[in-house]
Amino acid sequence: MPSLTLSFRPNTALVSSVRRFVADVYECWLTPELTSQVALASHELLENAVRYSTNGETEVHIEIALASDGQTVCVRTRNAASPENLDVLRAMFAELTAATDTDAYYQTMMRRSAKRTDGSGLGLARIRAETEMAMTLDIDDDHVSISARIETRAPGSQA
Amino acid sequence: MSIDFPPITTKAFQATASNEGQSATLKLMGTADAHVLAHVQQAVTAMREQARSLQVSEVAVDMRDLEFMNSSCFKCLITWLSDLLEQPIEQRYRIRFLSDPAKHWQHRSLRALSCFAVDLVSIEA
Repeated sequence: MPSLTLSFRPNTALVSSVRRFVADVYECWLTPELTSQVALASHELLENAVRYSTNGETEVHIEIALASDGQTVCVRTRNAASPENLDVLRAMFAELTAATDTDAYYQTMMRRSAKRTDGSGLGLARIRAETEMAMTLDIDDDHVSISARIETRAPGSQA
Repeated sequence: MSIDFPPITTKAFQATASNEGQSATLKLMGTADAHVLAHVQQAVTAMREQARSLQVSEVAVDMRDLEFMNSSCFKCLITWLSDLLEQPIEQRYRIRFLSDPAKHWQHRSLRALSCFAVDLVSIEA
């Protein structure tokens, strides 16, 4: 099970370096399309984690489970966050998971984003719509973990 | 009339623009992430102002040498399209995105943009 964990004090300038590193490492196991999806998810999640981490520390963990009939890839970030940001995340995830049509939800978020003056608010919706990864939120005291997971099946294998 | 667009040249991100006849081209290169967001905003804002001033019928946004664009920078394009959709029809222009098929994120992100502004956006791979 190839996995990669980076635990560090990144700044925004380092996030793109991490994305390139992730793409370079995982292109050995994944298709170019899936590598691109994992890289995008890693970038968006890590950038959010860096922005909202209250102690400057962030962890990103990427894991691939290889099987004869396909692969499961999971990207997870973990960071400390303020109570206010945890509440915002809970509300965002409640809305995200309630939306059954990911593309329609993404378009809604794009319309809202156009009028925002602080940040884009698009990262999670973008990951879900553009990578088709399932998103989960776990909050443990003042720490938050966000995971993006995708399962792929080899052509001809049964789901 | 020539376009007035001072090139943006940073280590990570570059933007240049040109015009010919009724068309203008904005070329984005490098990596558009949070670190260079102000430069991306500057590039898109300058292009919007020039497109209006030159009364172009089309702007080509060349993203073929753009390695990646994060959601904050992507929002700059969304705001551009959103504002354009609110203009009277006679003041609107088309936006044609030039993409690199090998950069898979571009296909997915530009498809979302084309759904956002169906009548204004076209994509060339």
